[in-house]
Amino acid sequence: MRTKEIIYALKQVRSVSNETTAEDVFFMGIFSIFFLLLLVALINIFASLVRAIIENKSSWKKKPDSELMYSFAAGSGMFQLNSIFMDAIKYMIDRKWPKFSFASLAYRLGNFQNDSKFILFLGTFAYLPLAALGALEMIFRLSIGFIIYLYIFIFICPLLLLGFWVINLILMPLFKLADRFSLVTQHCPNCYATFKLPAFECPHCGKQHSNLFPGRCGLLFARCTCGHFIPCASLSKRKKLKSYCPKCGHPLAGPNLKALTIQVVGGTSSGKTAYIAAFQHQYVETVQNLGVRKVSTSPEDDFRDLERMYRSGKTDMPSPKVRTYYILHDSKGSSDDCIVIYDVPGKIILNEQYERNPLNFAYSDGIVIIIDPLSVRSVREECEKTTGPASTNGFSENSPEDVLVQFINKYSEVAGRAAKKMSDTPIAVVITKMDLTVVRRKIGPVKIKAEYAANQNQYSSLEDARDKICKKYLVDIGLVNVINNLESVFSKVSYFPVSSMGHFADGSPFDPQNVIAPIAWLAQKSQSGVKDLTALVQGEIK
Amino acid sequence: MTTIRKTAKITLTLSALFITVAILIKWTSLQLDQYYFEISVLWSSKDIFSWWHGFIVQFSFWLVLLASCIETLFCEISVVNILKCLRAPLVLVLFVAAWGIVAMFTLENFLLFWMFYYGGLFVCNQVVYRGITSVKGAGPSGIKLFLKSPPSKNGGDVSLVDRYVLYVTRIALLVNMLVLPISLAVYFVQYQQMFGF
Repeated sequence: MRTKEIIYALKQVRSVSNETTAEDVFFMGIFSIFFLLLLVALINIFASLVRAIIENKSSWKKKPDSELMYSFAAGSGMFQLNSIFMDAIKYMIDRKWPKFSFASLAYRLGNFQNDSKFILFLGTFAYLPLAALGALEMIFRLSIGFIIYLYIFIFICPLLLLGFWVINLILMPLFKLADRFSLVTQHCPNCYATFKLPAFECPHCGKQHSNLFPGRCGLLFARCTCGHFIPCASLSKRKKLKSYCPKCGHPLAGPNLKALTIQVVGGTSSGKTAYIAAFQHQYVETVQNLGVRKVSTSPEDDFRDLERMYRSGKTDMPSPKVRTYYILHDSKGSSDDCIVIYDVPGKIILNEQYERNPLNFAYSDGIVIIIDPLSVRSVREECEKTTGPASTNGFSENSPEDVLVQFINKYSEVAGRAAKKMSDTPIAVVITKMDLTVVRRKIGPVKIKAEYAANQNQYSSLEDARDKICKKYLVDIGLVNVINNLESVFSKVSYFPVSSMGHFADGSPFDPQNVIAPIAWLAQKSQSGVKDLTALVQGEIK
Repeated sequence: MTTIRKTAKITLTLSALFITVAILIKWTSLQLDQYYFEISVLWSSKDIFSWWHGFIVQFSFWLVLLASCIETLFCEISVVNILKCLRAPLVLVLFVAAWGIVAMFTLENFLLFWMFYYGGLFVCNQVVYRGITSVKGAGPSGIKLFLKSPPSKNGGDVSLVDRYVLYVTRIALLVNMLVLPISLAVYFVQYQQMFGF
């Protein structure tokens, strides 16, 4: 029964469909063409929009006087929206480019060339209907397209962008503030300029950006004019970018370094460079072996020279300029810890060439004063008597007293120290060439330990014993004025017997002794971030 | 080389012309019903003759029209030129139209009409043939020479396709030129009694 009903219904439908008149077919045809034209027009409106978006995805608004672009929320979005709108209209009007379009097909077919007039004539029978459909399609496209585009570009997108802009406006000061707090004051090793935010290099195009911080160019990432995004905040690991001094453009070892800045001062050939070579080798090697922090050095060439000196056992001729050595410690935070060592040549201090001297800026966390005991005639003569004349080769001819007086005068001048007020900058006085028998007998570790063990009531600690014994030694060799001058200016002075080479300059590699202790002490006194690490290294070497 | 878009001007002009004629016929059918009736009667009178004559008459007309259109393709594009190329079919249409007017006021003579129509077709066929022959690439004007030279040897700077089209058209017109007088002769012989001989 049910099947019969269905068959009957189907017959009814068929009979109705069979009754379709020519007029119905005509109107159905018109409707189909209308629907097809509408569909094609909509597809092309959408395709024009997509093409405009794809082509303008990289068109960002450049910030004036900068190599950065405004962020999407702070200006580039509106700029991009305008560009997309203009291009979308351009592509919508353009009948040449779409693939799925009557107008485009008519355009292509219309431009078909052939020698045969007959073939072209036959072609016109396809071209003319296509051209008519294309013209209708263009009318549809323009009328509907303008309405759609106006709706998208004047209502929806500006509202969204306004929302982004407001959110950006609220977040910007927070990100700016957070970034500002993470910045550390730094100094250029070349021009000694003081700054907080260095210039950063774009890793893709090499352009330098001196204003790479959260702001209108981006909160976490900013877009370089080369089109690549680069981190612009501490949170987004901006420190991974190469950094430069914003004043002179000198490459920096790191962008945001919490530095323990140490100036190594002493007479010419007093052993400053040898000390630095010994320290860096022992320190870096030990930290690497311990594996507690990732450590690196900069500049590479200078450290290669130091390493060469260390291995060959021979130091180079004194350099006429201040050298800066960076030992960097990688950290997970926004800034890295680092030890900056300035090797200040004796000539610069003695000749009063302070124009380009880091001391002028008085930003040292500690000063290492190198005293070569062989610069004292009596010690030299005693040494020659004991171990032969070869043992005194390469001694410093500058009087430690002259160097120190000159240094103190200049330091007081640049630091603006009042005559009666003492400086709290820690001073580590390093008495070098401890390996010489005549020196070792007086201030060697064995001697100090023995003295401390024998007279524990006189010393509060082993360090105290070391200080007092070294001071006594300096007094004994006639450098009492050095001690007096230092201790009248600086409140924190400590004395260290050190041997950078560990032997005569005979061409064999360094065998340093006690080179970590002075800097570990300075790190502790200045409450540096590397104080624990230097203490650990010192303990490890002992 | 030219493009389809430029060639479309010819198609558009021809279409406009044919649409005008169609509209005119439609208008005549609506406004001048007596006249249209006379023409319809005149035109359908071919059915009283044998099928051959009806076929030849229709075939020849469409051949003349097609050949005129092909000639139009190869002339300079202008309205005057197009009308000039289409003069043969237009004359035929006008002849039928004029005969219709005459038929309204005098006694109808189908025999004479179709005889003149045959004659008119033959003349138009000749005119179109001459027109086609003068087109570049259509080959030599002499029939013997033309029959001996294939399209590949006619006119170097005309497309081979066009040369074949012109060649086939000329052949068709030539055949028609032979068939039309024969048919006319047959028509005379077949219906001589009706002519009063």
